[in-house]
This record gives sequence, C-alpha cells and structure tokens, in this order.
Amino acid sequence: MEPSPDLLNRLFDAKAQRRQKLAAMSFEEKIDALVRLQEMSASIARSRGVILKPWSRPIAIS
Amino acid sequence: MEATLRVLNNLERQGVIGRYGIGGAVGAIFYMEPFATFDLDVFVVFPGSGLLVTLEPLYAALRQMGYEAKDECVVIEGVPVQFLPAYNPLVEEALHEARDVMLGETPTRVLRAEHLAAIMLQTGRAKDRQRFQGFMEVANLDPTLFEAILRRHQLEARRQQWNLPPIS
Repeated sequence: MEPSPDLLNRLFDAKAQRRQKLAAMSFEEKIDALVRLQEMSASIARSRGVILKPWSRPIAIS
Repeated sequence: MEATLRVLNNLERQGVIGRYGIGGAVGAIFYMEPFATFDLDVFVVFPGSGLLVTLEPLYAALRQMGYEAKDECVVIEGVPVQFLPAYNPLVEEALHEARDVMLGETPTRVLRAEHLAAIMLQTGRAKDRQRFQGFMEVANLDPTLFEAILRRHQLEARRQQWNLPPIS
C-alpha cells in the first residue's frame, strides 16, 4: 500500500518545520549539536578504522 | 570552541592577523540547522599584506603558543582551524561586513548569510552547490543585498548555470 499524497505532504511539511526550528537555535546550541554530530560521526568512522576527533564541549547547554 | 575563538581574538588584538571572520561550514551553521563538520574555516585579512601573502608569521606565532600546523590546519584548543587569506574582492567585502556575534561569553565574527551564499556560488564545488540549496531554504537572506552582491561580483551567470531563480 502506498502512502497517500496527503500523508507525504504532512511528513515533508513537518521536516521543513523541523529544519526551520533547528536553524533558529542559538549559536551555542548549534555548536553543542555540532559536537554531538561529530561524536556520532566519529563513532561510525571508528568502526571503519577511521579516526576522527570531535571538538570538546565546554559550553553547558541546558 | 570558545577557547579557540579566544586565541583568534588575541591574535587579532596583537596584530598577528587583521580582521577575521568565520566562514565555511560553521559560518553556514550560524544560519541553518547544524550538520557535521570537523574544521573551522576562518577568513583573515593580514596586516600590511601586499601581493604575496604568507601564513608563516601566523604559523610561527601559533607555534610559540604551542599550536602546530598539520595538513593546512592548525589545531587550536582541539579545533582544526584553516586560515584562508582574503583572496578576492568578494571575500574582502565579506570580511569587512562580517557580523559581530557572541559564542557564550566570547565575541567573534561570522560572515553575513548573503556573502556566505555568494562565496558558495563563486567557489562552485559540488559540496558548495549541495550546501547552497539547503542554505537558501532556511537562511532568510535579504534578497536586495544578495542580488547586489551577485551583480557587484559578476556571479549572476553562475546562478543561471545552477538554474537558480532570483530570490524574492
């Protein structure tokens, strides 16, 4: 069974809204998220034998 | 990253570098959703730079501070920083008009969204094109300013090449 166009539109709209929400975060929050993404990338890369070094996360984000 | 920015601010204060501004992926992240990147691109004006720009005085100052250059980057407080001299009028203008922002308690500068987009167009690599599309969707560019930058730096043809309509 294929998803309805209406469902797909809702999903794509939600995705676009999430991007806008993430884009509106503060610079501090974005750098914190960036370091988390680096940690995830580094862990995936490690399993392929590639060493990546995430930045440190000195800023406390609540 | 704040510690890295403090080092950059000290270098600027000491006159080792002139005005600097964050560009590249981290500059883009200032305006769009975060994505993974591992280095920090910093555009720099070098004081008294003539026709031949060398990074050696900067690298020497950083070495004295204990930061070694490696593969075109210098790892400063855990962050690989790539210093890019202002290499053409567009980048010079972008640096001149960069925005003063804060990261935590530390002041820094980020290139304006309109200049970052223009630099992506001008640089024109596959990854610039890919980033450009997403950037334009969320970065809320000022259309008047962006169009003026494209005209001033002869980038309208590139935009046409990329099949992008003028933003409204």
